[in-house]
Amino acid sequence: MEKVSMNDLPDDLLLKILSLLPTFKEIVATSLISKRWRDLWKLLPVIPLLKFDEKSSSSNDTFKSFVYRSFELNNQPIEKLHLKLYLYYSDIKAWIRAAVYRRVRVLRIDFFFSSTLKLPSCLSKCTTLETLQLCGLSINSFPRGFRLPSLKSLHLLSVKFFSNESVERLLSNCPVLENLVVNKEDYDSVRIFNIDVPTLKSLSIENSKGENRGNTNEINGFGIKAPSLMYLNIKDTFSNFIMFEFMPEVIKADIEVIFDLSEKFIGSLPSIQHLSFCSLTSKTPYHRGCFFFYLEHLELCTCSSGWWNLLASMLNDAPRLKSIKLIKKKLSSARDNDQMTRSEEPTVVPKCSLTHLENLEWREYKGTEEEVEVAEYILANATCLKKATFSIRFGDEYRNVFRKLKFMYRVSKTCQLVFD
Amino acid sequence: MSSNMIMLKSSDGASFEIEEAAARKSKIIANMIEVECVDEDKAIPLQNVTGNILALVIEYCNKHIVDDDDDVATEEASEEEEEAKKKKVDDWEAEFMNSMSLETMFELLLAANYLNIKSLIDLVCQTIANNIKDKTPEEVRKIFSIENDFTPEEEEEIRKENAWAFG
Repeated sequence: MEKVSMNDLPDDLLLKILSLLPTFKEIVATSLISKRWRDLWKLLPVIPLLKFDEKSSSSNDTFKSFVYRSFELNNQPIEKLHLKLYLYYSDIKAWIRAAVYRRVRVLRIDFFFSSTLKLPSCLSKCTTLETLQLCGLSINSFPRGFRLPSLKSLHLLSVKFFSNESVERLLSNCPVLENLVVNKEDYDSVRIFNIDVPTLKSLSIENSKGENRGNTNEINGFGIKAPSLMYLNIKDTFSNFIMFEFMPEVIKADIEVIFDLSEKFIGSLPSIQHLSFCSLTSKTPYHRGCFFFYLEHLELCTCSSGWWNLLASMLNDAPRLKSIKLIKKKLSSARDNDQMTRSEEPTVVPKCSLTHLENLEWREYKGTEEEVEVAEYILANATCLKKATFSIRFGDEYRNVFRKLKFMYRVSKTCQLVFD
Repeated sequence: MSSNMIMLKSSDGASFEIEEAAARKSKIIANMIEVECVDEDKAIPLQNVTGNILALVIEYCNKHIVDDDDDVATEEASEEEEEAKKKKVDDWEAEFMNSMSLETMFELLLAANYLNIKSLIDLVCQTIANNIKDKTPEEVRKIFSIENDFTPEEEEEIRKENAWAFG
């Protein structure tokens, strides 16, 4: 029987293989393989990624002429255009215009050195653009009537804005925005980054402009008004405040901040199912009377001096809690020596709340007096606990801590005790 | 889980028994089952697939039907478990593709195409694409034993046309 080779594959399978090559450049390079491959790429229904990396490209001119020529030749849609450039130059606009003409869905622009870009006005008419990723550039003005009519996802990675207003101007002109990612690394003129987007479903903020500065007079932070939000992710080692409104749809939140979050914060998340929380707050960050019926997974950072208060309140107010994880994030390791101020235990033994608890995981358990009390309390009251995991650091006290835990009273007879 | 068994017969006359659930990975066979043109006592003849290739297809389908069952059983698996499971499947797939020659790979792709098993088509195409990326056209020709049927003039012309792609 004759040997089967690449040539026996029908065109649609070869095109499928072509479409899985990472960049357009590699796709076009296959035109040199053989006559059969020469024009195959022109039949691709969609160009997956057109990427121009100034760093690794021999010359802009060949890229430019190639792009223009291929634009003339074909009219395949482009899935993604990715430009990685040293500095702004005027061709960007032409390239973006061409990509808009080719129904681009994802546009990413990276600058190695922060330069200023005025977003081209042709984007206002682009009804295919769903994702815009900007990295390392400055935005200080917009063309008249600028908007991004179909944009669902916006990534602002180290993007500097000229003022609070330019942020608002950009966000208010994304009428269907669902996903926003903000990573701030450098200083800019924005003091209050105001996110007022009624359609927003997912928000991720990472702000690490350096250690929190001593200058506490200057206000730095975020305003969040997103009533449809479902996923919230904040990791902020710089800001000194966050303003927010009621967020009734949020089901998952991962919060790591260094400032005191206002008392209302957790209370504004009534539908929360999955909460991970790390804040130096010393007060209970929600008002009495709040109730978290849907909360199943709680991860608390033990770096804050008030974590026990928060845990105690949560045990009372989250009747369906299934798992508790206590961890220590690196963020505040400097506060290791802080005394835990335990001002209140749950006054009423929460009859219902610990009956759903199945899993307890405690990272960096040291066995301090306070920690022992918390562990004793949970093990003695969680009737359905299946697994309690403690990770203890090796040291002089290791054996002691280990033994104490081992002989602690456990109400759940099926509870498995794990050490790692 | 008990499941109906189905007989498949390769082009060279070998018979294979396979669970219906696994066989349904193939759209063609699933359609045959839907319109009830599968006789329980008779094997489905697959004229375009040889026995050794059909054995590989069945190995793939069996592996993936087990994974699908797991998904149902542990609906509330944590993200870490999900990831571990995905990695297990990825490792198995990598090993599976690694174990065969290029020629077998092409035959398997043609069989997957004929039987319309989308995830297997994706897997083989991705493996072939991984063999093409980061390679010069000369290297690709060598790996896949493709004859260079260009004249030097034609080759020069293409290089000029798409100069950027060869930079």
